Amino acid sequence: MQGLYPPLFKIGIQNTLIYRWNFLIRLLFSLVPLFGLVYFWKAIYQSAGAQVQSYAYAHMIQYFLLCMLLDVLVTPTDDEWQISAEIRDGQLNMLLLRPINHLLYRLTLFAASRIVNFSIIVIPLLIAFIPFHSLISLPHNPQPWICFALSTLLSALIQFLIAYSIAMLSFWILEISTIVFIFFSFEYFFAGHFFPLDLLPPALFKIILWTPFPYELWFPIAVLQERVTGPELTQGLLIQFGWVILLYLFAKFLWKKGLVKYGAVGG
Amino acid sequence: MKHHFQVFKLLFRNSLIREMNFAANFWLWLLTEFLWFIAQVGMIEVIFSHVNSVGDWNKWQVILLMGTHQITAQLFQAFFYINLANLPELIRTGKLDFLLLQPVNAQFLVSTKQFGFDNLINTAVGIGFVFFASHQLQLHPTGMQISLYLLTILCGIGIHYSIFLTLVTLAFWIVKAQGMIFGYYNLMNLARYPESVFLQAPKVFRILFSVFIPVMVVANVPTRLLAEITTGTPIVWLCGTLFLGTFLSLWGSHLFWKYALKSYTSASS
Repeated sequence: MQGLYPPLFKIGIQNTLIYRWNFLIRLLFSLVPLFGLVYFWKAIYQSAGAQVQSYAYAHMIQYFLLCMLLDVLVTPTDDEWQISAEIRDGQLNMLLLRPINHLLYRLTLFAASRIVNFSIIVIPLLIAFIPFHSLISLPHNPQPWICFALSTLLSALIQFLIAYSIAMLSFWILEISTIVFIFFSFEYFFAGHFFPLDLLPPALFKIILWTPFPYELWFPIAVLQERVTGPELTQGLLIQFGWVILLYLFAKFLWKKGLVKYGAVGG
Repeated sequence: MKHHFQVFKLLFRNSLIREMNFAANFWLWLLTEFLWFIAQVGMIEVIFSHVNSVGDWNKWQVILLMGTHQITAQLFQAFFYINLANLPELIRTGKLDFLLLQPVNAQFLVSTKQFGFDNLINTAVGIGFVFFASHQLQLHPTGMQISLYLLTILCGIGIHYSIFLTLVTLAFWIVKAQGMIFGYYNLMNLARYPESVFLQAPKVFRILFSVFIPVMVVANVPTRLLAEITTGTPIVWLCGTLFLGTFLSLWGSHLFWKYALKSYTSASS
């Protein structure tokens, strides 16, 4: 049974490679907003002076570059749509007949697609970063790196489990795209895609830290930039881990409920 | 008779359910677009809580720009977006053949079929923000300014249209078209920044994004005309670029569409 997942992983890799053109086009276009961001923030720093909050210009640019890297590495692009299609089109019947755990099956495909995407993208992305190399300074001791790796892994799990849970709604409703986009707008804003979350008013920032969103993007980066250290770091990692467990239980719950509904309809 | 009545009742019930489904969808799409817009405004709010100006634009001028961009983008989406976004699917399934057989211009047919009512409401949201920002800036535009504002927005819709048409036309060669739709949003990202921000960017990029892919002028020109903002590239230049860009991109995308159609061999053959 355990031996099943490596071949599935391979299939996931092949599936991702089929659409490499789509993928490369996405990559090329994702550099356009970066171009805008850099000059936008440059102008902001010209009127703000050396610092915005605790961010110097170099930190800010580095923040957005890391955003891009993490986005490719851990954000699901297609998974919720694929899972939703499986449920809607009845491909699920075939999967249910096999002795595989559906969540693990999707997680394997997710991991495969992320790794392929990342390995295709990482070199062109790093080349695009060359003009900014003087702005990048990374920690020298191993501790932030280890915590960053752990936090990134947890971020991937959070994002996958959210995508999976949303896709589970397809058992009850036909069209999930609006729900995906509505959720995505919150996710995008409160994960820190627009600006580092510590620029938010402090009261709001404190509340947001209890939601899963900051742990998708802002937190791993803050760990690597050594903005979050000591007890705050431990607390953050614990909250992150807690969200993984909660979301896992929630996804499992939806899957079980959904399957009952599915069985009732399909006969 | 009774049997027919029951069938009719069922059919009526079904179509009503479907209508209600669409209604829910209508409100959800409306909410989606609205939330995205609010997120943008939220970003501006947060940034301006730390600074007073960006590229010599103050907060309300930037919000005016956002509102103007919203009006242009939503009007484009109301009329053309759904139809063009559907083109890759028409190509993939071969349904495009039926459209090509109609005795009507094919570009017209693939561009106009459905209408997005929810986008009209979001246009109104944009108009609301433009009015509010104008009030905050104490603008009293003349009739001439308002006419120019509307004319340049019309150009903007043309630019949105030709950029999106060009991107979806690529679907004649590349089957999976999600990347193209993604690309439209990424390019339009640049439209929301004040133009003066890009004064420091290399000239190549400025020419690329203002003449060949005229995203930098699309919302900036109407905003600057309305708010009489004088920082950045002289407005006469920008206006000229906008008109030239609109013309070139409409013409270019049309040529590209015709070229793509020529090499189209249908899905099954």
